[in-house]
Amino acid sequence: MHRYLVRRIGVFLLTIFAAVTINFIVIHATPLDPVAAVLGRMASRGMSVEGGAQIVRTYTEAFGLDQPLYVQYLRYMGNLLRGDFGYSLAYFPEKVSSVVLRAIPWTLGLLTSAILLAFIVGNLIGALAAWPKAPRVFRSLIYVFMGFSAIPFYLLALLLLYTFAFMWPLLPTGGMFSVGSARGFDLATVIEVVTHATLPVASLALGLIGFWALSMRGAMTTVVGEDYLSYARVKGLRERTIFFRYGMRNALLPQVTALAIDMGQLVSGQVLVETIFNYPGLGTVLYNALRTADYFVVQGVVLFIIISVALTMLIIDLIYPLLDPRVRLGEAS
Amino acid sequence: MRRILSSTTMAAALTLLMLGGAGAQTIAEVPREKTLIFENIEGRVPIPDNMNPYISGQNLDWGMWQATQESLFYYNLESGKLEPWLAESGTYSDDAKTVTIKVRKGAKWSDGVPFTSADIAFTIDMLKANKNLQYAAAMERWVDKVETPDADTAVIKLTNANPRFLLDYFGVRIWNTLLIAPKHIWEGVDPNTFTNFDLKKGLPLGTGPYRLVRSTETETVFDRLPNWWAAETGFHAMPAPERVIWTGVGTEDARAAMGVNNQLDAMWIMGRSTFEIARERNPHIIGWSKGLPYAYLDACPRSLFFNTSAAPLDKVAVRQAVNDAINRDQLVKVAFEGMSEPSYSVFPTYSSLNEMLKRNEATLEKLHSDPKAIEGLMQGAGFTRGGDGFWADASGKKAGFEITARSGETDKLKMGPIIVAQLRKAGFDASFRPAESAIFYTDVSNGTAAAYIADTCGSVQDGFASFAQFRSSESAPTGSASSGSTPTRFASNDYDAAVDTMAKLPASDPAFTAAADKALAILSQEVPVVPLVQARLLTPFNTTYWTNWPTAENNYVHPGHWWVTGNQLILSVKPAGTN
Repeated sequence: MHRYLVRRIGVFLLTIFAAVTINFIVIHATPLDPVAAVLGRMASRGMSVEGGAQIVRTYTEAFGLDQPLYVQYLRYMGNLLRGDFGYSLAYFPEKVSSVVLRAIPWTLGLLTSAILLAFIVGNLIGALAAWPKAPRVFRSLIYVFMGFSAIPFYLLALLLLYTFAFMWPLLPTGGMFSVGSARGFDLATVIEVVTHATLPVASLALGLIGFWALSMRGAMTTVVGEDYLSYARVKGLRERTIFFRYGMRNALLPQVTALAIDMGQLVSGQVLVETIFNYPGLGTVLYNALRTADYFVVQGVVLFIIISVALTMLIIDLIYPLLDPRVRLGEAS
Repeated sequence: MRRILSSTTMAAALTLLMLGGAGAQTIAEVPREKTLIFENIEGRVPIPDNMNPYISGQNLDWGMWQATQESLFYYNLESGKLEPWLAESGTYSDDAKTVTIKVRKGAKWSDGVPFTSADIAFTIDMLKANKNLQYAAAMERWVDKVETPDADTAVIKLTNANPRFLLDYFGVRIWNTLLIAPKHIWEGVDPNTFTNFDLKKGLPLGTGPYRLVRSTETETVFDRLPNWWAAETGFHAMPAPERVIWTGVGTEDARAAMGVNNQLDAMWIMGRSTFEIARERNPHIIGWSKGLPYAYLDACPRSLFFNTSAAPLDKVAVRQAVNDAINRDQLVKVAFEGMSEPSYSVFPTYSSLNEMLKRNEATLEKLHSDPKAIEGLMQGAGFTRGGDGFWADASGKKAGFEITARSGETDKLKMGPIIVAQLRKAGFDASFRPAESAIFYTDVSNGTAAAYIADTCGSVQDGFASFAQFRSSESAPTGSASSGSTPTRFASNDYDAAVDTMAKLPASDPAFTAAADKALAILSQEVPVVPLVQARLLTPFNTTYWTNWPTAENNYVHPGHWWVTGNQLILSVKPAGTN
């Protein structure tokens, strides 16, 4: 167990190092000139760009963009180890850490809600579809949700926006609060936040439920014929107890691994969904940073995403032996 | 299962509540009918806790400069007049080397401290001393020194004659302006790092009738102050809205939905079809005019700019031929859905500029499309038309180039493919590539873009500002960053001389007129830029809660509510219930 733990943490650190390096190389390999982008943005809005050459010089020197790439890389890695993510190029003197930290809570809230919703609903539908005594409607439901899975998250977002905010204005069009609302730690604020999160969460969750349902149905099919289920029935346990405690619980193990993989897919989909709903999370920050060639903000957001996904996988890897003793046995043999 | 579901719901709600609490700034409720809601055209506020207006690249059009700040002067695009506000008057010496600003009597900062000439002098000196700030280079270039003989008078000694100094820097010529800083707040702080944000201390401090009470990424909220210097002195009545909000929206669909649901009073740009659907669902949604074009004339006409230092567009004849191939009527019909008109100059057709355009009708006539002239021009430039229909030079290289435009700018993205189709039909191997902001600006600035569709934001009163954008000093060699807003790498000594002459003269001077005509003739002949269409923007307003929005019949100000002049809208709207 000890060796397993050390190896997994080693892989975790190596993954982060490799991903951060690739991220640095890819963004610096683009032909973008972030300082020219800042100037262009100012000029396009009629802002004063007199002294543009001075601005270019100052920014280039201040951000070390005139240094060789390997120097920039070493400086970047050194700063990262000290927890310094640098400044936003597009919105200097804003620090990258402030930009990312402000957005993280919203993204976490959205991701957590969407993942939990999709995981629970999807697995439940999949398990019921494979359960012999469950109503047949659940088998049909899988196909409905598979249809949603084929639609990109951003299209689902637009579809939901049009249907529930424009055609039937039941839910807000975006943001996380009603415009000008009081906002406090009270029930009204909770309802407001949940209402505003409904469409973005639904856009992400709807696209994933089908995947969970299908894979759970497959897992459940291998469980329904098991002897321990027959034994439970012979013992006279209630059907609901057998379904949840013996059937679903055993079929759920492989799904836990898929949860980490699912997170990567969800994060990529979240970028556009957040933009459509004007949700102030990391997706919106990343989208804006890419548009303005804000190197350091892109690096900061991507780093956070890398750490989140890698950390989730590490946690799942670490708790897996606790959930399934066969993993430890496999290690020992 | 119920247990799992309920605990999950609780967890999600709690998570979201924590998030809500983290971002919330509690404020008192104000009834909707007393609240004026604008769309924040930037979508979101990138640094909600920084209100320093002097940081390079800082936009404060989410309410800060419309609700809390006021300008010395406001140039009114509709009336063509420079209207004094915090200043009572601004006069130039005969040689245009000295500007005297008289401060309006009774003007005060919102903390009660008088607004004086010392604030003006302090701001200019601060910018001159901090070269990285916005407007610092301009003040360093133009201002020798500022004298304040008394609290009401600021005398600005210029380094060179500049009869447009007030309009360019203190008159909101286009979109923003140099705002004056309260000396008693900014004195002793480092203006490069000062955030100018502390709601408890009343920052940001301005002279406007509102104070900031909430600033988040998606929303800024301003509440009306009990006192305002302009109301106290009788200069202007208190504005009617008790609260003004700027909120991010996102897409055009969301904008339409919020407008229809009365969640927005003033919106950002909408396409004609979306507008007509929204208006059908909510008759309180209005445009600039009741019928077509619904849209008002913007200060920035759309043009096709060339990199005139790269083949094949380095040849005048090729640029003229490209101009001859472009059918502007088609662009108006498709890209602007009939809501604009063709343009044959880079100037907006405001009354103040129309005189120059009318005087030079014959010159501008040369830029009218003439497909029949293409063959002669291209052959004269050494091109022959191959069997594939494309023009090629003696070495067989096709006369081809790529046109780019910035993603997100709908009218330009619509025009691109149409122009390409017209050019290909005329024998040019043209293509179109929409580019994200960073890529677009990099390519334009460094000259990598052979041709690009963009705005010409410059002249509003006389021709100088737009002419100046094509001076050789605004460009740089291909590969180097240009400081000009729309670089073409165009260089002409005659043109530079004409524009330099204009720089020192007021538009009323006959020598200015002669120089302007000469510059226009050179631009029309050399074609570093092909004027395409006048820009008309459809920015809908909602009259459910507020009326007296600017319209074609009631054009007290242009409707660009994101400009510094947006304060004029706030001061003019009336509650719908009072009608």
